[in-house]
Amino acid sequence: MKREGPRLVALVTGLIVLIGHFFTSAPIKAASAEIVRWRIIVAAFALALGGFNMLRLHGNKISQKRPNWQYSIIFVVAFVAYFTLGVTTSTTSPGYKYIWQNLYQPAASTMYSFTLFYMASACWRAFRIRNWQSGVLMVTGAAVLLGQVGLGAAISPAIPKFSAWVIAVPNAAAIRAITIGGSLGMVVMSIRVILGLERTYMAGGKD
Amino acid sequence: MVSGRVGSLVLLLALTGTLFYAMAAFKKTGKLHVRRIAGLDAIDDLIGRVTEMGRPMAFVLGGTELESQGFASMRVLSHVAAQVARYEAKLFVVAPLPEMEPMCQEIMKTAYMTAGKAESYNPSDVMYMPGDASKAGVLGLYQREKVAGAMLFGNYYYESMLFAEAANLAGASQIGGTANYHQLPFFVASCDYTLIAEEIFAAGTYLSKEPSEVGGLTAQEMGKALAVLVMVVGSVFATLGNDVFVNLLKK
Repeated sequence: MKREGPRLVALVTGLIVLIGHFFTSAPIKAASAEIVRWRIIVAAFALALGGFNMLRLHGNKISQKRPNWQYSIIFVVAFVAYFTLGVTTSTTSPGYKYIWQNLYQPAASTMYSFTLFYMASACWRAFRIRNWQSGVLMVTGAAVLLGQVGLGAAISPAIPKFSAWVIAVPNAAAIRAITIGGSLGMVVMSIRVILGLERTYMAGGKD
Repeated sequence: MVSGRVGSLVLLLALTGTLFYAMAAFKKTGKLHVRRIAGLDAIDDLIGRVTEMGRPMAFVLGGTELESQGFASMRVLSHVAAQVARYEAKLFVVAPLPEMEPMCQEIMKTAYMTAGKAESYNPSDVMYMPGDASKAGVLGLYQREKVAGAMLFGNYYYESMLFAEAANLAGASQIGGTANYHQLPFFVASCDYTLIAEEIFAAGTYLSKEPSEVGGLTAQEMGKALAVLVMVVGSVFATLGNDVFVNLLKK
C-alpha cells in the first residue's frame, strides 16, 4: 500500500489534468483546476515538512555538538525569529520587509555576483586552445562577444554580421534540436510517472 | 476537444503506445542496443575515484519544482547510491525541494539496505537546501568536506556555474546533466562530462535496462524520428507553397 497509494494518486490526478488539457468537458475542466489548486496546498505542506526537517537536523547537530554546531544555533534562532515575525505580523509588515530587503537580498545578490568570477575562470579553461574544436569555440566565442558590443563593429562591420548569423543559424538549430530531444524525454518521463511505471522516488523503486 | 491540441494528443498516444509495445518486446527478446554515453560510463569511474581517495562525493539535484528532470535525476541518484553503498564511499545528497528530500532519503536508505549496510546509512547526508540558501550551502559543503567528486543533475539555472566551478576549485571531478539548454554551456565548460538534455532521460535505461525504462527510451527515439519526419514533410510542403500540412498541425 505504501507504494500503490502514491501510484494510484498519480494515475488518477494525472489523467484528470491530462484529459482537462485536451478536452472541453466542464466537469473535467473543473476537477483539473481543483487538482492544480490542491497542488499548491500540498506543496505548502511539503515546505512545512522541509522546514521541520531542517530544524530537526540542526537541532540534532547542536545537541550532539557536532563540528560547526555553533552555526546551527544561528540558523535555528534566525528561522524561529523570522517565522514568528511573519506569522505574528505579516509578510508585508515593515519589520519583515526590512529584514528581507537588508539581510536576505544583499546576501542573495552577493551569491549571484560570484557567477561573474566563476564564469571568468570557466571561460579561461574552456577557451584554452587544446585542439581544433577548442579553437573553433574560442574564435566563435570571441566573435560573438565582440559582435554584441560596439568594439566589434569598429574593428570590422563583418563581425556583428557574423555574430548575428552564429546566433540565428547554427546556435538556433542546436538549441531547437536540444529542446525537441529534451521535451520528448520530459513527455515520456511524465507518462511513466502518471502510469506508475517510474517508481524510483518510492523506496528507490524496489518493490 | 480543445482547438490546436489534436496533434499533441496524437503524439502523446503514439508515444504511450510505443512505450508499452517496446516494453513487451523487450520482455520477450531482452535485446537492446543503446549507444555509449560517456557521461554515464564515467559514473562508476567517479565513484571509484572518490573511494580510492577516501573523500566524499556530492550529488546535487537542481530544480525549482518537482518535474520530469527531477525524476530522471533521482533515477541516476538511485544507481549512484547503490554503488556508493557497495563500495562504502561517502555520498552527500542535496535536495533543493522539500518534497524531494524524503524521496532522496528513501532512495539512499533502500540502496544501503540492499547492499546489506543499513547501519552505514546516515539520514543527515541528505540535505534539504532551498532556493538561494543552496548556493552558499553547496559551496560550503564542497569546501568543508573536500569533495573529490560532484554530480549535478536536474533543472538548473544560474547556480550551475556556481556549483560546477566551486567543485573545480575543490579539486573534484564532475558529471553534469540538464535539459535546460541555456545552462549546458556552463556544464560543458566546467564539468568533465556533460549529459545533454535527452541523455539524462536515457540514463535510467542505460543504467538499469529495466523494461519500462527501455519502453520509455524507445518512445523517446520514436518521437525524435517523428519530429524529423514532420520537419522534412513540412519543409517540402512549405517550399511548394502548400499550407495543408501546417493547417493540419494547427488543428
